[in-house]
Amino acid sequence: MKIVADKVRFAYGQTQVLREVSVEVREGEVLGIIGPNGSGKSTLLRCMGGIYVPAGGEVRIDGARLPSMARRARAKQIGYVPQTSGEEQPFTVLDLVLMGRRPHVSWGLGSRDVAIAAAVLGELGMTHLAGRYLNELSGGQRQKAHIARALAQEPAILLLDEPTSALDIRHQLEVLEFVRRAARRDGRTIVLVMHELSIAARYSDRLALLSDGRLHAAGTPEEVLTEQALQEVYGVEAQVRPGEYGLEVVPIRPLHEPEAAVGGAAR
Amino acid sequence: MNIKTRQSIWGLTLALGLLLLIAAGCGSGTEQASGNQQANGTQQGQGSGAGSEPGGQVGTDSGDSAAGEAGSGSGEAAAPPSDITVTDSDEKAHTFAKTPEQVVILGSYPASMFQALGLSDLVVAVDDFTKDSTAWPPFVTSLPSVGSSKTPDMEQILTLGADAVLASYIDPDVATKLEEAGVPVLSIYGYKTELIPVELRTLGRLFGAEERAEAYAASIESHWALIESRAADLEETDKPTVYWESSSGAYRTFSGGTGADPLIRMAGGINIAGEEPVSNPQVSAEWLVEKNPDVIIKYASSTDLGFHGGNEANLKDIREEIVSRPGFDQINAVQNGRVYLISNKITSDPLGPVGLTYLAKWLHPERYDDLDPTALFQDILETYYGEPYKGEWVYE
Amino acid sequence: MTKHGGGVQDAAAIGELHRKHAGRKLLVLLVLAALTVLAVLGAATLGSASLGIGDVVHVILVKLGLAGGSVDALGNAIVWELRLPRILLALVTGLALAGSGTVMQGVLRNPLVSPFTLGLSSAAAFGASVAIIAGASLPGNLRYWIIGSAFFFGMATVLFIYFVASLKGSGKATYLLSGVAISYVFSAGVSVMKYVSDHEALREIVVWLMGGLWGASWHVVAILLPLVVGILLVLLANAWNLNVMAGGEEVAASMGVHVKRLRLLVLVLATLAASATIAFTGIIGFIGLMAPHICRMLVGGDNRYLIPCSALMGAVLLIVSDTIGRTVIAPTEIPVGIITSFIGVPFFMYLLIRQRRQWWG
Repeated sequence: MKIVADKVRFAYGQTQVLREVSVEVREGEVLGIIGPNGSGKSTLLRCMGGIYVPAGGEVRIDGARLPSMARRARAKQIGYVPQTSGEEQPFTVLDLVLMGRRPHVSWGLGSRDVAIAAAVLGELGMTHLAGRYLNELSGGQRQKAHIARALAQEPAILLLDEPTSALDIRHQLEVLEFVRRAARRDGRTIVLVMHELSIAARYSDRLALLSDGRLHAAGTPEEVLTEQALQEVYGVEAQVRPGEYGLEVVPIRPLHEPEAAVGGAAR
Repeated sequence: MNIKTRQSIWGLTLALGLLLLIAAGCGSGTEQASGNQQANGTQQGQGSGAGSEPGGQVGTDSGDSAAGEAGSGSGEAAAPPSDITVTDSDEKAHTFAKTPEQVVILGSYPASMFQALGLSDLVVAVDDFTKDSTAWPPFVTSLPSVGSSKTPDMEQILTLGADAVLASYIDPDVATKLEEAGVPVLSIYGYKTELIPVELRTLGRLFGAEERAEAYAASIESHWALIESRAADLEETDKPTVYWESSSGAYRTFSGGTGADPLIRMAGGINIAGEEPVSNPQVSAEWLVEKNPDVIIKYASSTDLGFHGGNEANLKDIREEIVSRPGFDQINAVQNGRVYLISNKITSDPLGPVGLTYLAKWLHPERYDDLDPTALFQDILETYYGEPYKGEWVYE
Repeated sequence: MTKHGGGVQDAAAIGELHRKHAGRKLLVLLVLAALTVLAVLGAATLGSASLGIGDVVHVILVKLGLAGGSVDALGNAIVWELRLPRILLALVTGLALAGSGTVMQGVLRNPLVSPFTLGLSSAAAFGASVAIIAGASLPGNLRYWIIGSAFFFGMATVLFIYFVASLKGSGKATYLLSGVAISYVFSAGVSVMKYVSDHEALREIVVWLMGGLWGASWHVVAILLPLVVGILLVLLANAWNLNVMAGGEEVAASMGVHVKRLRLLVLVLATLAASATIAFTGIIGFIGLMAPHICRMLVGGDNRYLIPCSALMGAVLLIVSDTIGRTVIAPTEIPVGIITSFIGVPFFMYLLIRQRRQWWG
């Protein structure tokens, strides 16, 4: 399933956060959204998930405009995982994952729902944690549990907001390998908001670089992550070179007068 | 406060009051001092000036009590005009160099007593509730108010130049502050039935109205005696049981030590809550139904019964609410139509003999047939208050 | 992906785990339901009137048409007219306060929320005080004025807080801080009322503030029971939505929940249930905060179980408290609010200390 953001505008109060951003993600593709803090990455992701309604422009999945879709129908197509908040309510991992079945059930959970949850947990290697309460888990395990919840939703499109921010390097790789497989093998459409540029470059088919609410560049990692772009958008001097496992981005030093405005709204 | 504490405080108050009345000497410095006062049946003669000491000691030290005992019944001619020491209803002794002439009254009961003793000219201010809501006795409505009866405006009291405050409900801290500022604060309740004659006499002595106070107090006591004497030969089994409910809230009643309880006893009834340890207990409905009182009395507030007449519709509603409570159809009082509403202004109040008469007639119609509460009320109002009878007082 | 191989056993294990968890939650629910029935029956046999258990059972059976014969009028009055309506009022009040506390905590994602912390109770108390003070100048039965006024102010407060929060952004602190602020305002208002009121009205305000169930009658039960049960059913129907809220508002929104609408619906219904009962009973503290927490420790956060469990827990706690209140120094009654605090708080603290897991951080 294909998801398109078409000239999306969004503002928090008076602060313009997105100014006509357009991106397109094809079925089975991983799109990484990168950009400095406050450039509108998470906001764009939320607009694509139907959580925020854009002030202008529109989001379409397979040609259907998001607001025109029933909420439940939309939820069957789009799964969303926010950044970890660090606080959890009294649910077990299994509780949480089964919660992902919400768009598919009205009251009771059937054996099919449990089977799907079991499959997702097995795939993420979390079966042994199913009975544990969320606040008994490490940050990485918790992050994976939330991803499992979104996967149990069986969405065609999966939106992940910095899914690896809380994870150590091993868990990062595990999660991203899994995400890539979900795109390659299962044909899911994946959108990731990422901070870590090398990792983003390695696991994304294409990147969208946001700067101050505008799309600075979109394309393959090699097209987007240029030394000039890093200088303009992030205000850093960096070296970018192709490596055996994708682009290597080596930041060198911040420039004293960044050419792009950093900051803007939080989030 | 439980019944025991109450009783002991009462006992102490009475004992101390008595002691002081005997010991401290009275009225010798005032114009109206006229020698011995007539004592009532239960208290000893008083009027000794011998025990009174300049310097204003309270009457509790040994010298005073000894003097009091020794001087009991003696004349006062020898004593020079001197301080007046009285004990208020919280057993606190107050000594005055002269009769207070600017009095602030907080509470309608002491205000009522002031009118009855012909002292209303001395009052310079009252509290909001007395002035606006009770509006009795009539003189209070034209006086300034010093605010709440519990926490009055102290500055205003001082500005008014009050030399005494009489209070029914004052906050103890406020009272202390006022005393520190030089204004004595006397506790005069006026709603505790058994204390009423004592308080009248205390006021009479302090303000030089002994004769009138004695006359009123004695008439109250003689009325009690009359009612009691006719019920004296009743067997316990012939005494109707009474449930007396507060005007604030269903199932809230009065146990021993409250103003209503002695009235029931005098009128030859049994207060079903008389033995409860809490003074204003909230009782359970099923207990009440099981106790099955013969008579139910309910206080009506001054807006429903009183000088301003009765609010027929409200009164009907109030009685209807009582008789229609769940399970009350099993109660004798309800079955026999013996549910009465009465104003608290004529019960636990200096006007109490009126309410007592109504009560006696409700409990034992045959024994009190000849008594006419309205006539009695008229007589009290005219004799002591100088007011015409008006209003509605009970709902039968 | 180390355990990727054992798919079949994994699935079986997860299925087993799910059955076990669901079974345990169901068991807790059934036990609580049984306890509720026991509490009702037990409370019906206890009271200041000297009736034997046999008499009580006989009256109930005859009245329910389950036994023949007749009942004497006194027994009928005491058991059927007095005790049962009162017990049922305790039941429905417990259901309402605990149920609304649960869903308010859920929908606002805040463990400290209850009808009290949102300022609802203070507002209702203020409303009641106003009516009590206005008293005689109001036409008709004062009781209904108190109820109406308490309800009006309670509802107005929650709506006000809701709109403040929707203007300000729905940060967790916004609700609680507005609630606390409103509480202070209305508490001050009640103090003013107490300060200016005469002694009779003052006592009535104090009595109302302490809370009690003596106003019970079949009439009151007939008003409240359908209302509260109906509201609880609607809330229960939203259990999934509330569950999803646990993952955060964004997750809920992404899963198809209309967050603002859900929040408004839940708050209004919970307020309606709570303030309707508060209006009849006065302020009864702590149940709305305590019951949900106890039940969260027992069944976790799944609102499909949590809502009914908390509601029943609230009912049991209130019935037991009221029974203690009306029997311990009978015939004098102790306001039930005092008992809920005295037995509830230590029990709650015990659970809190014993519990290793801490929710919400």
